Amino acid sequence: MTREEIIHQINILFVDEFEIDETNIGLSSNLLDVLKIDSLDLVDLVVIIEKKFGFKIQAEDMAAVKTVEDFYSFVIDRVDQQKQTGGLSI
Amino acid sequence: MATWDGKTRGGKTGYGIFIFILKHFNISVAYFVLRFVAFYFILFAPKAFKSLFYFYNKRLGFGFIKSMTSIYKNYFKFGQILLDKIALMAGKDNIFTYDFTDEVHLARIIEENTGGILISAHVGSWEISAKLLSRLNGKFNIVMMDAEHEKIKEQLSKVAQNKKSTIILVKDDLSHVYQINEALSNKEFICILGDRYIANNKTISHNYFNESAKFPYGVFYLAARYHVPVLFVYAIKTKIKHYKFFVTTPKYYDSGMDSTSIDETVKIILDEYIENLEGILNKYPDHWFNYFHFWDGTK
Repeated sequence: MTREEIIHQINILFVDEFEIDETNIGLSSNLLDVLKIDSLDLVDLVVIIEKKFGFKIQAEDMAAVKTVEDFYSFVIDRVDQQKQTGGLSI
Repeated sequence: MATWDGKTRGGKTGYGIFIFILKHFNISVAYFVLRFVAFYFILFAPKAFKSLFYFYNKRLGFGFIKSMTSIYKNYFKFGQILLDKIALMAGKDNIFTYDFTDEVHLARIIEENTGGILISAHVGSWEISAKLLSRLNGKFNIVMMDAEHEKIKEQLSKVAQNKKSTIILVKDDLSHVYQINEALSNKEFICILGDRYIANNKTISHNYFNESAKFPYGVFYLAARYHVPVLFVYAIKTKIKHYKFFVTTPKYYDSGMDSTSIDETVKIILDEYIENLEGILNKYPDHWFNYFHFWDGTK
Protein backbone atom coordinates (compact mmCIF):
# COMPACT_ATOMS: atom_id res chain seq x y z
CA MET A 1 0.00 0.00 0.00
CA THR A 2 1.45 3.37 -0.94
CA ARG A 3 1.56 6.39 1.31
CA GLU A 4 -1.24 8.01 -0.67
CA GLU A 5 -3.40 4.90 -0.45
CA ILE A 6 -2.95 4.74 3.31
CA ILE A 7 -3.93 8.40 3.70
CA HIS A 8 -6.92 7.84 1.46
CA GLN A 9 -8.03 4.83 3.54
CA ILE A 10 -7.68 6.85 6.74
CA ASN A 11 -9.70 9.72 5.27
CA ILE A 12 -12.43 7.30 4.20
CA LEU A 13 -12.50 6.04 7.78
CA PHE A 14 -12.78 9.59 9.12
CA VAL A 15 -15.66 10.35 6.73
CA ASP A 16 -17.58 7.10 7.15
CA GLU A 17 -17.13 6.47 10.86
CA PHE A 18 -16.98 10.01 12.21
CA GLU A 19 -19.00 11.83 9.53
CA ILE A 20 -16.28 14.37 8.86
CA ASP A 21 -16.31 16.51 5.73
CA GLU A 22 -13.07 15.56 3.99
CA THR A 23 -12.44 19.18 3.03
CA ASN A 24 -12.20 19.99 6.73
CA ILE A 25 -9.33 17.60 7.37
CA GLY A 26 -6.27 19.83 7.73
CA LEU A 27 -2.82 18.32 8.19
CA SER A 28 -1.92 20.54 11.10
CA SER A 29 -5.30 20.29 12.79
CA ASN A 30 -5.50 18.57 16.18
CA LEU A 31 -6.64 15.01 15.52
CA LEU A 32 -9.19 14.81 18.32
CA ASP A 33 -10.59 18.27 17.52
CA VAL A 34 -11.03 17.45 13.83
CA LEU A 35 -12.81 14.22 14.56
CA LYS A 36 -14.77 15.73 17.44
CA ILE A 37 -14.46 12.45 19.23
CA ASP A 38 -14.84 11.42 22.82
CA SER A 39 -13.18 8.47 24.52
CA LEU A 40 -15.68 5.99 23.12
CA ASP A 41 -15.08 7.19 19.57
CA LEU A 42 -11.35 6.91 20.18
CA VAL A 43 -11.84 3.28 21.21
CA ASP A 44 -13.56 2.74 17.85
CA LEU A 45 -10.78 4.52 15.95
CA VAL A 46 -8.08 2.43 17.58
CA VAL A 47 -9.90 -0.85 17.08
CA ILE A 48 -10.73 -0.09 13.43
CA ILE A 49 -7.20 1.09 12.56
CA GLU A 50 -5.68 -2.02 14.14
CA LYS A 51 -8.05 -4.26 12.22
CA LYS A 52 -7.74 -2.40 8.91
CA PHE A 53 -3.96 -2.10 8.85
CA GLY A 54 -3.07 -5.20 10.87
CA PHE A 55 -0.82 -3.80 13.59
CA LYS A 56 -1.21 -3.25 17.33
CA ILE A 57 -1.17 0.29 18.68
CA GLN A 58 0.97 0.77 21.77
CA ALA A 59 0.03 3.51 24.18
CA GLU A 60 3.49 5.07 24.24
CA ASP A 61 3.46 5.46 20.44
CA MET A 62 0.39 7.68 20.59
CA ALA A 63 1.85 10.21 23.03
CA ALA A 64 3.47 12.05 20.12
CA VAL A 65 0.43 11.87 17.86
CA LYS A 66 -1.35 15.19 18.09
CA THR A 67 -2.24 16.32 14.58
CA VAL A 68 -3.83 14.66 11.59
CA GLU A 69 -0.42 14.63 9.89
CA ASP A 70 1.11 12.92 12.95
CA PHE A 71 -1.57 10.28 12.70
CA TYR A 72 -1.00 9.69 8.99
CA SER A 73 2.75 9.41 9.61
CA PHE A 74 2.24 7.02 12.51
CA VAL A 75 0.06 4.65 10.49
CA ILE A 76 2.35 4.85 7.44
CA ASP A 77 5.40 4.07 9.59
CA ARG A 78 3.72 1.10 11.23
CA VAL A 79 2.54 -0.30 7.90
CA ASP A 80 6.10 0.06 6.57
CA GLN A 81 7.47 -1.74 9.64
CA GLN A 82 5.00 -4.48 9.04
CA LYS A 83 6.16 -4.90 5.44
CA GLN A 84 9.73 -5.16 6.61
CA THR A 85 8.98 -7.73 9.30
CA GLY A 86 6.71 -9.60 6.95
CA GLY A 87 3.72 -9.88 9.21
CA LEU A 88 1.76 -8.53 12.14
CA SER A 89 3.84 -5.99 14.00
CA ILE A 90 3.36 -5.68 17.73
CA MET B 1 -29.84 14.18 39.99
CA ALA B 2 -26.70 14.81 41.95
CA THR B 3 -23.64 13.21 40.45
CA TRP B 4 -20.64 12.05 42.33
CA ASP B 5 -18.35 15.03 42.75
CA GLY B 6 -15.23 13.04 42.01
CA LYS B 7 -13.95 13.23 45.55
CA THR B 8 -13.90 10.70 48.35
CA ARG B 9 -14.50 11.64 51.98
CA GLY B 10 -12.08 10.82 54.74
CA GLY B 11 -9.76 13.04 56.76
CA LYS B 12 -6.11 12.40 57.42
CA THR B 13 -6.62 13.02 61.15
CA GLY B 14 -9.20 10.28 61.36
CA TYR B 15 -6.89 7.93 59.55
CA GLY B 16 -4.08 8.90 61.87
CA ILE B 17 -6.09 8.11 64.97
CA PHE B 18 -7.06 4.68 63.73
CA ILE B 19 -3.55 3.90 62.58
CA PHE B 20 -2.41 4.72 66.12
CA ILE B 21 -5.01 2.38 67.59
CA LEU B 22 -4.08 -0.41 65.21
CA LYS B 23 -0.43 0.04 65.95
CA HIS B 24 -0.70 0.08 69.75
CA PHE B 25 -3.75 -2.13 70.32
CA ASN B 26 -5.55 -4.38 67.87
CA ILE B 27 -8.28 -4.31 65.32
CA SER B 28 -11.00 -5.31 67.76
CA VAL B 29 -10.27 -2.17 69.77
CA ALA B 30 -10.38 -0.15 66.58
CA TYR B 31 -13.75 -1.68 65.70
CA PHE B 32 -15.00 -0.74 69.18
CA VAL B 33 -13.98 2.90 68.75
CA LEU B 34 -15.53 2.84 65.31
CA ARG B 35 -18.94 2.18 66.84
CA PHE B 36 -18.93 5.73 68.17
CA VAL B 37 -17.44 7.21 65.01
CA ALA B 38 -20.30 5.67 63.03
CA PHE B 39 -22.74 7.68 65.17
CA TYR B 40 -20.76 10.82 64.39
CA PHE B 41 -21.31 10.33 60.68
CA ILE B 42 -25.02 9.78 61.17
CA LEU B 43 -25.20 13.23 62.75
CA PHE B 44 -22.63 15.13 60.70
CA ALA B 45 -22.88 13.71 57.20
CA PRO B 46 -26.40 14.78 56.23
CA LYS B 47 -26.04 14.26 52.48
CA ALA B 48 -24.75 10.74 52.96
CA PHE B 49 -27.45 10.08 55.55
CA LYS B 50 -30.18 11.27 53.22
CA SER B 51 -28.91 9.21 50.29
CA LEU B 52 -28.62 6.07 52.41
CA PHE B 53 -32.05 6.57 53.93
CA TYR B 54 -33.47 6.85 50.43
CA PHE B 55 -31.72 3.64 49.44
CA TYR B 56 -32.94 1.64 52.42
CA ASN B 57 -36.39 3.15 52.83
CA LYS B 58 -37.47 3.81 49.25
CA ARG B 59 -35.49 1.35 47.19
CA LEU B 60 -35.13 -1.64 49.48
CA GLY B 61 -38.47 -0.96 51.16
CA PHE B 62 -37.23 -1.02 54.75
CA GLY B 63 -39.38 0.61 57.42
CA PHE B 64 -38.21 3.72 59.24
CA ILE B 65 -36.46 1.98 62.15
CA LYS B 66 -34.85 -0.66 59.99
CA SER B 67 -33.65 2.06 57.61
CA MET B 68 -32.08 3.97 60.49
CA THR B 69 -30.34 0.91 61.90
CA SER B 70 -29.22 -0.05 58.42
CA ILE B 71 -27.56 3.33 57.98
CA TYR B 72 -25.64 2.81 61.21
CA LYS B 73 -24.64 -0.69 60.12
CA ASN B 74 -23.56 0.69 56.76
CA TYR B 75 -21.26 3.32 58.29
CA PHE B 76 -19.89 0.76 60.69
CA LYS B 77 -19.25 -1.72 57.88
CA PHE B 78 -17.59 0.93 55.74
CA GLY B 79 -15.39 1.95 58.65
CA GLN B 80 -14.46 -1.64 59.36
CA ILE B 81 -13.47 -2.18 55.76
CA LEU B 82 -11.29 0.95 55.84
CA LEU B 83 -9.62 -0.32 59.01
CA ASP B 84 -9.12 -3.72 57.46
CA LYS B 85 -7.41 -2.08 54.49
CA ILE B 86 -5.04 -0.26 56.82
CA ALA B 87 -4.32 -3.47 58.71
CA LEU B 88 -3.58 -5.30 55.47
CA MET B 89 -1.27 -2.54 54.31
CA ALA B 90 0.53 -2.90 57.64
CA GLY B 91 1.08 -6.56 56.85
CA LYS B 92 -1.48 -7.97 59.27
CA ASP B 93 -2.83 -10.52 56.83
CA ASN B 94 -3.33 -13.21 59.45
CA ILE B 95 -6.16 -11.29 61.13
CA PHE B 96 -8.58 -12.22 58.39
CA THR B 97 -9.83 -15.31 56.68
CA TYR B 98 -10.97 -15.47 53.08
CA ASP B 99 -13.18 -17.51 50.86
CA PHE B 100 -11.54 -17.66 47.45
CA THR B 101 -13.87 -20.33 46.02
CA ASP B 102 -14.94 -18.20 43.06
CA GLU B 103 -11.39 -17.41 41.98
CA VAL B 104 -11.51 -20.56 39.84
CA HIS B 105 -13.47 -18.52 37.26
CA LEU B 106 -10.66 -16.02 36.98
CA ALA B 107 -7.90 -18.62 37.18
CA ARG B 108 -9.37 -20.47 34.23
CA ILE B 109 -9.32 -17.55 31.84
CA ILE B 110 -5.84 -16.58 33.01
CA GLU B 111 -4.76 -20.05 31.97
CA GLU B 112 -6.54 -19.61 28.65
CA ASN B 113 -4.63 -16.35 28.15
CA THR B 114 -7.59 -14.35 26.95
CA GLY B 115 -7.35 -11.31 29.19
CA GLY B 116 -10.65 -9.84 30.26
CA ILE B 117 -12.62 -7.05 31.85
CA LEU B 118 -13.48 -7.16 35.55
CA ILE B 119 -16.31 -4.85 36.53
CA SER B 120 -17.07 -4.03 40.15
CA ALA B 121 -18.80 -1.25 42.07
CA HIS B 122 -18.47 0.77 45.27
CA VAL B 123 -19.85 -2.24 47.09
CA GLY B 124 -17.73 -4.09 49.59
CA SER B 125 -14.04 -3.48 49.23
CA TRP B 126 -12.63 -2.89 45.78
CA GLU B 127 -9.17 -2.47 47.24
CA ILE B 128 -9.32 -5.77 49.12
CA SER B 129 -10.33 -7.41 45.84
CA ALA B 130 -6.74 -6.63 44.89
CA LYS B 131 -5.79 -9.35 47.36
CA LEU B 132 -7.59 -11.85 45.16
CA LEU B 133 -5.81 -10.51 42.13
CA SER B 134 -2.41 -10.79 43.78
CA ARG B 135 -2.91 -14.54 44.18
CA LEU B 136 -3.28 -15.04 40.45
CA ASN B 137 -0.82 -14.95 37.59
CA GLY B 138 -2.61 -12.46 35.42
CA LYS B 139 -1.61 -8.86 34.77
CA PHE B 140 -4.24 -6.47 36.07
CA ASN B 141 -4.75 -2.85 35.08
CA ILE B 142 -6.87 -0.89 37.52
CA VAL B 143 -8.71 1.96 35.80
CA MET B 144 -9.55 4.85 38.05
CA MET B 145 -10.52 8.48 37.85
CA ASP B 146 -7.77 10.99 38.33
CA ALA B 147 -9.98 13.05 40.59
CA GLU B 148 -10.15 10.39 43.33
CA HIS B 149 -8.69 11.24 46.68
CA GLU B 150 -4.91 11.22 46.87
CA LYS B 151 -4.71 8.75 49.70
CA ILE B 152 -6.67 6.22 47.74
CA LYS B 153 -4.18 6.59 44.90
CA GLU B 154 -1.41 6.21 47.46
CA GLN B 155 -2.92 2.97 48.72
CA LEU B 156 -3.40 1.69 45.23
CA SER B 157 0.12 2.71 44.30
CA LYS B 158 1.25 0.12 46.81
CA VAL B 159 -0.82 -2.41 44.95
CA ALA B 160 0.74 -1.23 41.73
CA GLN B 161 4.20 -1.83 43.13
CA ASN B 162 3.31 -5.44 42.73
CA LYS B 163 4.32 -6.01 39.14
CA LYS B 164 1.08 -7.81 38.47
CA SER B 165 -0.90 -4.57 38.72
CA THR B 166 -0.81 -1.22 36.98
CA ILE B 167 -2.97 1.83 37.48
CA ILE B 168 -4.51 3.49 34.44
CA LEU B 169 -5.71 6.99 35.19
CA VAL B 170 -8.65 8.38 33.22
CA LYS B 171 -7.37 11.65 31.76
CA ASP B 172 -8.69 14.46 29.62
CA ASP B 173 -6.13 13.76 26.89
CA LEU B 174 -7.77 10.29 26.45
CA SER B 175 -4.40 8.56 26.80
CA HIS B 176 -6.11 5.98 28.99
CA VAL B 177 -7.91 4.69 25.88
CA TYR B 178 -4.61 3.67 24.30
CA GLN B 179 -3.46 2.07 27.56
CA ILE B 180 -6.67 0.07 27.92
CA ASN B 181 -6.48 -1.01 24.29
CA GLU B 182 -2.87 -2.09 24.64
CA ALA B 183 -3.57 -4.00 27.85
CA LEU B 184 -6.41 -5.95 26.29
CA SER B 185 -4.35 -6.59 23.15
CA ASN B 186 -1.67 -8.05 25.44
CA LYS B 187 -4.27 -10.39 27.01
CA GLU B 188 -4.17 -8.51 30.28
CA PHE B 189 -7.09 -7.60 32.50
CA ILE B 190 -8.86 -4.30 32.91
CA CYS B 191 -10.42 -3.72 36.35
CA ILE B 192 -13.01 -0.98 36.38
CA LEU B 193 -15.97 0.23 38.41
CA GLY B 194 -19.38 0.40 36.77
CA ASP B 195 -21.35 2.53 39.21
CA ARG B 196 -19.99 6.06 38.92
CA TYR B 197 -19.53 8.59 36.19
CA ILE B 198 -18.23 12.13 36.00
CA ALA B 199 -20.54 14.86 34.72
CA ASN B 200 -20.51 15.32 30.94
CA ASN B 201 -19.46 11.73 30.28
CA LYS B 202 -21.89 9.58 28.35
CA THR B 203 -24.25 7.63 30.56
CA ILE B 204 -26.92 5.00 30.14
CA SER B 205 -30.04 4.78 32.25
CA HIS B 206 -31.37 1.55 33.64
CA ASN B 207 -33.78 0.48 36.31
CA TYR B 208 -31.89 -0.22 39.49
CA PHE B 209 -33.92 -1.38 42.47
CA ASN B 210 -37.01 -0.35 40.50
CA GLU B 211 -36.05 3.21 39.72
CA SER B 212 -34.07 4.66 36.87
CA ALA B 213 -30.42 5.44 37.56
CA LYS B 214 -27.51 6.41 35.34
CA PHE B 215 -24.45 4.29 34.79
CA PRO B 216 -21.21 5.09 32.91
CA TYR B 217 -21.77 4.03 29.31
CA GLY B 218 -18.04 3.75 28.61
CA VAL B 219 -17.45 0.88 31.03
CA PHE B 220 -20.01 -1.32 29.35
CA TYR B 221 -19.00 -0.08 25.90
CA LEU B 222 -15.50 -1.44 26.51
CA ALA B 223 -17.01 -4.77 27.51
CA ALA B 224 -19.14 -4.80 24.34
CA ARG B 225 -16.41 -3.56 21.97
CA TYR B 226 -13.61 -5.96 22.86
CA HIS B 227 -14.32 -9.63 22.48
CA VAL B 228 -12.89 -10.66 25.86
CA PRO B 229 -14.45 -12.37 28.87
CA VAL B 230 -16.34 -10.10 31.23
CA LEU B 231 -16.66 -10.84 34.95
CA PHE B 232 -18.29 -9.04 37.86
CA VAL B 233 -16.18 -9.05 41.01
CA TYR B 234 -16.90 -8.07 44.62
CA ALA B 235 -15.13 -8.57 47.96
CA ILE B 236 -17.77 -8.77 50.67
CA LYS B 237 -17.11 -8.76 54.41
CA THR B 238 -19.42 -11.60 55.31
CA LYS B 239 -18.31 -11.98 58.94
CA ILE B 240 -16.45 -9.86 61.45
CA LYS B 241 -13.02 -10.89 60.12
CA HIS B 242 -13.89 -12.85 57.01
CA TYR B 243 -14.14 -11.85 53.36
CA LYS B 244 -15.73 -13.68 50.51
CA PHE B 245 -14.80 -12.94 46.93
CA PHE B 246 -17.70 -13.13 44.55
CA VAL B 247 -16.66 -13.63 40.94
CA THR B 248 -19.14 -14.41 38.19
CA THR B 249 -18.58 -16.98 35.49
CA PRO B 250 -16.69 -15.28 32.64
CA LYS B 251 -18.89 -14.42 29.71
CA TYR B 252 -18.22 -13.34 26.14
CA TYR B 253 -20.63 -10.85 24.64
CA ASP B 254 -20.86 -10.95 20.87
CA SER B 255 -21.67 -7.72 19.15
CA GLY B 256 -21.44 -6.70 15.52
CA MET B 257 -19.35 -3.80 14.31
CA ASP B 258 -22.22 -1.36 13.79
CA SER B 259 -23.18 1.05 16.52
CA THR B 260 -26.69 -0.37 16.91
CA SER B 261 -25.40 -3.86 17.65
CA ILE B 262 -22.84 -2.56 20.11
CA ASP B 263 -25.46 -0.44 21.82
CA GLU B 264 -27.71 -3.46 22.23
CA THR B 265 -24.83 -5.43 23.67
CA VAL B 266 -24.06 -2.60 26.09
CA LYS B 267 -27.62 -2.85 27.36
CA ILE B 268 -27.35 -6.61 27.78
CA ILE B 269 -24.14 -6.34 29.77
CA LEU B 270 -25.53 -3.56 31.93
CA ASP B 271 -28.67 -5.59 32.50
CA GLU B 272 -26.63 -8.52 33.79
CA TYR B 273 -24.35 -6.28 35.83
CA ILE B 274 -27.30 -4.74 37.59
CA GLU B 275 -28.98 -8.06 38.18
CA ASN B 276 -25.80 -9.33 39.80
CA LEU B 277 -25.29 -6.12 41.78
CA GLU B 278 -28.86 -6.13 43.08
CA GLY B 279 -28.40 -9.75 44.13
CA ILE B 280 -25.29 -8.90 46.10
CA LEU B 281 -26.92 -5.92 47.80
CA ASN B 282 -30.15 -7.72 48.60
CA LYS B 283 -28.02 -10.17 50.52
CA TYR B 284 -25.51 -7.65 51.93
CA PRO B 285 -27.35 -4.29 52.05
CA ASP B 286 -24.81 -2.76 54.43
CA HIS B 287 -22.19 -2.84 51.66
CA TRP B 288 -23.63 -0.02 49.51
CA PHE B 289 -21.02 2.76 49.63
CA ASN B 290 -22.25 5.38 47.16
CA TYR B 291 -23.05 8.20 49.57
CA PHE B 292 -24.87 10.48 47.16
CA HIS B 293 -28.29 10.42 45.55
CA PHE B 294 -27.86 7.70 42.98
CA TRP B 295 -31.20 7.74 41.19
CA ASP B 296 -32.64 9.95 38.49
CA GLY B 297 -35.80 10.90 40.35
CA THR B 298 -36.28 13.57 42.97
CA LYS B 299 -34.49 13.12 46.27
